[in-house]
Amino acid sequence: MHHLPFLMVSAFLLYVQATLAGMTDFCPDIGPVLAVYLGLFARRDRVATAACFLGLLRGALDFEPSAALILLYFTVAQGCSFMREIVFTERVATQFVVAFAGTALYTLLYHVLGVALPMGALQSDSMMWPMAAATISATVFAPPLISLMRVLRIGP
Amino acid sequence: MPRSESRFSASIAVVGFALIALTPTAPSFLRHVDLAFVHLYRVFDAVVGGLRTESKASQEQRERAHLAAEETRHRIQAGLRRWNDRLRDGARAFAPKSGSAVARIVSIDRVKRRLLIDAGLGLDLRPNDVVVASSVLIGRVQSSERGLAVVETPWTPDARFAAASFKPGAAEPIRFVARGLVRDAAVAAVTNPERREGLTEGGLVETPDVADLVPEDFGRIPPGFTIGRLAYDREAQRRSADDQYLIEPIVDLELLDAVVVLYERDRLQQPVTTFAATEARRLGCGLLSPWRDGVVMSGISAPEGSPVLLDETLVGSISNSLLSASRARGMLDPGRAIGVLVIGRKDTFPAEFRVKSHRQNEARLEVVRLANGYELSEGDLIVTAGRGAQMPRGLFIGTLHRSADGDFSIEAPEVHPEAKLTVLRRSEFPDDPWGG
Repeated sequence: MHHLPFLMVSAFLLYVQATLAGMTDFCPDIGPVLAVYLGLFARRDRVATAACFLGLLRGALDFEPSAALILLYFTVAQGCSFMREIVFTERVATQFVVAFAGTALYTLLYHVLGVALPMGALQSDSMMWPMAAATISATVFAPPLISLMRVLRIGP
Repeated sequence: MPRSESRFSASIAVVGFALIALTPTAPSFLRHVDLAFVHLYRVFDAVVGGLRTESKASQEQRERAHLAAEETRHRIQAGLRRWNDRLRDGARAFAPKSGSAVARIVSIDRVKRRLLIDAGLGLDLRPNDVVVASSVLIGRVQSSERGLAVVETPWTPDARFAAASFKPGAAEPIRFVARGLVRDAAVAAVTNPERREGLTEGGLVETPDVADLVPEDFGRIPPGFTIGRLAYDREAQRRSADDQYLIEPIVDLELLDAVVVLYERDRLQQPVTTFAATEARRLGCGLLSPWRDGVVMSGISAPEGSPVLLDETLVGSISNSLLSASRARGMLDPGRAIGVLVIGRKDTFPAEFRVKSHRQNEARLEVVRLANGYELSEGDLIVTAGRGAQMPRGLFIGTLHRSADGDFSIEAPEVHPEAKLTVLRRSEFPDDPWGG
C-alpha cells in the first residue's frame, strides 16, 4: 500500500464532504476519521507523511492554515498509533471508541486554533452545534468507512 | 534505515515543516502550498460537471435570477448616482468654475490622518487639488500617481490650512491658520488669529476668502467650505490663562466612502478602464466548513484583495494565490468587517457592518457604524463602499433582511451553478501608493 491511492480516496471523500457541507450544516467531518484510520492501520513510518498530505488536502478546501491542520492530524494519527499497542484494532467497538476520542481531540484542538488564529473558525458566533454534529456523525461514520478502506486495502 | 528511525525522522520533518510554515515570515509558497492540491480537486469537478444536466426547473431559475439581477442593477445605478450627486452638489455651490470627479477612499492613514483616494486612471490629479465631500472640506492633494492621490487633511499633524470663523452678527470673519495636532483625537489648533475676541465655542469654521493675502496663481481653496467646529482646548488652558481653541471635524472619515476632487475644467480627461476582469474556474464543491463563506478557484493568480464576482454579485476577495489557484474569503465570512453603501428605496448612505455568523447564503450582522440620521430597513441593497486597493465602489453584496428577533442579516442572491466567475484587477497599482 502506498500514498497515492490513500491520497486519491481522501481527496474524493473530502470533495464529497465539501459538496454536502454546501447543502446541510450537519455533515460528518471525514478528516479526523482518516487520521484515526492512519493511526490504527497505516505503516508506522508513513503515518507522519500521510497526515501531512491529509492536512494539505483539507487546507486546500478551507481557510485554516494547512500547517496548523497538519499538526492536528499528525497529533491525532500519532496518538492513535500509540494506542495500537494496547487495543485490538480490528474490533468495531475499538474503532468506534478510538474514532470518538480522535475526533473529539481534533475538535478540541480546532477550537484552540479558532481562538488563536486571526482568521480562525471561532470568529463565528453560532458554529458550536455544527461542529458538535460533525464530531458525533464522524464517529458513527468511522467504523464502516474504516472497514471499507481495510477491505479495499487503501492506505500508506 | 530501520523503520523506527525512519518514522522518527519523518515525524521531525513534518512537524518542522508545519512550524516553519506557521510563522508569519515564512515564504508565501510554504504557507499556501495546499493551494497546489486545488488542481487535484479539478479532476473530480470535471467528472461531476460532466454528469450534471440542466433541468427545466434550473433553466427557469436561471431566467428568474437574470430578471432579478437586472432590476437590482438599475436600483444600484440610481442609488449611486443619487449619492454621487449629493456629494457633488454641495461642492458646486461653492466652486462653480471647477470641474469635479468622485473618487473612492481606498484607505486611511490613521497615524498621519491622511487619505488615499482613487479617482481612476483617466484623471490627472495634481498637488493642491481640493478634496471635499458635499460642502465639507476634506483636504488637498499632496501627491498623486496613476489616478491615486494622497490627501492631506486639516487633521494631519503640522498641516496648515487657512480658516475663518464668523462672530455672530458680524459681517467680517476672523481669519486664522488651522494647524493639525498630534493628539489621540483628530483636531487642529487655531493659530495666528487676526483677533481673539469673537471666537466662540461651537462656532463653525470655514475656508476663508484669502484673495487679499495670497496671489491668484497660488493654489487657493474656494471660500465657504466647512472645515469643522470650534471647541475650547482644555489641555492647553491648563498650561496658560488664555483661551485656546481647537477645531474638531464634523464628518466621520471612517464612514465616508467617497470624496469629490475639484480641478480646473480644462485639464485633460481620458476615459480609461481602471478595473479589468479575468475569468476563473470555481471549484463546484465549495468549502469544508459550512459556517465559513468563501470560494476556491483555479486558473487565476491575483493580488490579495482583488474582488471575485459570480455573475454580477460580489462573493469575496482574494486572500491568497499560488500556482494558478486562489482562495477568496467571502464578503459574508464570520468576523469580516465590511464598509458598505446602503441603497434604500429613497436614500443612499454609508455604513459599516461586522459579520457575526454565516449560514446557507445568509449572514447575521452587527452594525458597527451608521451615518447620522439614517435607518436600515428590509430590502435595502448592500454594495461595496470601495475600501481597499483593489476594490471598486458599487459592487452588489446582497439584500438586507430583518429577522423576527430584530437582528439584521444580508442574504446573498441565488447563483446558478453555471454562473461565470470573474476576478477584477486594477490595471495599475503603485508599489508604495503613500510615497514612503
